[in-house]
Amino acid sequence: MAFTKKVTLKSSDGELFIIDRAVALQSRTIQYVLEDTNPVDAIIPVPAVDARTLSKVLEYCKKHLIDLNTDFEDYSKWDKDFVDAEVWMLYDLIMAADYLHIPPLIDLICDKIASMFKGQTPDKIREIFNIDNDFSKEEEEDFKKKSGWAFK
Amino acid sequence: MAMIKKKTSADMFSFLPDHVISLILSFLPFIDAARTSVLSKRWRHIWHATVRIEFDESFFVKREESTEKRELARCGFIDFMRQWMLNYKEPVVETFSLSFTNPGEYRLDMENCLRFAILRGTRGLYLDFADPSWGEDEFDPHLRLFQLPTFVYKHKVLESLKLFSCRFDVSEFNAFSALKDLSLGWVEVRSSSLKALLMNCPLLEGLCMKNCWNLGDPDISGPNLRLRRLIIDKCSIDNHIILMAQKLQYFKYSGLVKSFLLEDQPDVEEAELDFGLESEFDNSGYCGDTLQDILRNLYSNTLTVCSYMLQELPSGEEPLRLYPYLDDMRHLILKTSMHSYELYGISFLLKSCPGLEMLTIDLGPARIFADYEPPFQIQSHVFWAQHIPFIDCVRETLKVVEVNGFKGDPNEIELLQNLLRYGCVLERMRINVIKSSDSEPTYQWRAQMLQYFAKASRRLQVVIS
Repeated sequence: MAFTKKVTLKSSDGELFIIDRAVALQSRTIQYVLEDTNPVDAIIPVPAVDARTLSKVLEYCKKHLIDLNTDFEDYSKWDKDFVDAEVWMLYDLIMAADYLHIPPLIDLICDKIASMFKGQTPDKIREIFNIDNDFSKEEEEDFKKKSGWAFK
Repeated sequence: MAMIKKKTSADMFSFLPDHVISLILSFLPFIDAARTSVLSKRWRHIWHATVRIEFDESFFVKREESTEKRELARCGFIDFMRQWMLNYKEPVVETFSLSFTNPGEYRLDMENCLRFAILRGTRGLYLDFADPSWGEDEFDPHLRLFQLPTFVYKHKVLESLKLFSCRFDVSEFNAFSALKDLSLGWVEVRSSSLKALLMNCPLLEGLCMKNCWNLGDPDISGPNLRLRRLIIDKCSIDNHIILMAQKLQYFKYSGLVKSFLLEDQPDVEEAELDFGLESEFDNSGYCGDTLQDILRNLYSNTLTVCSYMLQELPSGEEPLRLYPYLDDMRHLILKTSMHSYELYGISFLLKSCPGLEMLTIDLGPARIFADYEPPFQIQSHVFWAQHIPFIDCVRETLKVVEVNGFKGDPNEIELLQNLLRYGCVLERMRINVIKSSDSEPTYQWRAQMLQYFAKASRRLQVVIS
């Protein structure tokens, strides 16, 4: 079967990305689409991801394809810089990575977001991520008492 | 821009599906994940889907409390575990960790935990039944240890295993054909068991043995070993360690001085030697010779040495430097108090490493031996002025010097002053002043003084923090 070497992705806001097939295949979602239909020169819509986020995701996929031979340390440094982004960008990225199903990228972003939780009080975490506390004061205290072991 | 603004002021998680949040929580330590349950009503149960489970008695039991209170807290902990496992709905557990002292009467609960984890295909199993009150260098071989249940050996997908104070049957280890990482601690490991273990686990890349007893003369060699990291930490060893692992990259030894038979051991990236367990200075030259032999045969690019080694090294056959030189050494890390008794040892190493590029000095307390005998007289205040001019690496290759825990004692200042004066190719000197001390301003001031010393290198940057 003759595969096209290039694949065209269309972001939610209509921008087209022409990329190598091998880059696109890192997304399991796209992999399934290609396996099912093998569209020649067709455009694959990515309705859940806007152009800005998609270009960032593709940047990750390209890097991790080309540099498979780079040693571990170089790689982790690049990854670290890649996720050194604002909270809303991480949010867009994780949604995109989840939709496109790119497990190493999901792990990378989850690890980054988790690191923002570490050593913080609940109040501080709510502040960082704008989480609305819908517990009443009494409910919260009562709950903390019941799960006392975690709040010592 | 308007879109960004809107996004930053919104609760980012309100758009994320629960399964993504639980993925994030799986990257947190268990107790931190549990703390998210208080964030809001939605968060209350999400953490229950974490796939990295960690049950640690110390979450519930505080050591300083009375025996009765501790026993009550232990029951509470067991109840908590039972409930938690009962409510768990995920099909897969990634890693499972259990820390519990004296499991004796709770044996069934321990086994249920293991069944729970194995049924869900865990790839990492970490069992720690050791008592934190045990001293670092003591153990009781007569202790009745928890025996690893036989059904665990049927779990062939295990990649990472830790068994602390947990007896195992090494002949069953051939089932663990996927095992990559193994940590053993507070348990008897005979040298024959070790040999069998290395045979049975051909994929093993990391091996750590901590406070293991009856290790005899361990032989870690074999033509097909994949071992990359090896840690032998305070184990009881008879006379020597045989090491020949082709792929080894990191080796750490901590314990008493023993001979290392390293004849066919290829270069390792990093080695760390800590003989802090030695309680006496050996004037006979035996320990000095042994240490010099180890250095001669353990080729590494990065080496960490302890204060004991700095005092004992010059008492060996060669008092001033090693010959042949350690040509491969690029980075030397000294754990030292910069006591006058350690100076000859430091100079010994610097003179033995003609290609050294980086020197790290980690200052901290050290055991200094009153009966130390220097190879020659020590004149502390001019020691480095007399020695540094004759150290090749300082003039030719040393680029980076890093000092952690700087206090600015005379021996520290004198060494740094002379490194600055003679370090022709020095590019960076980083001084990390010891923090949270009343004398911090004094230490800072002493560090600042370094800026005013004469410098041989024009490119040099001195950073103080």
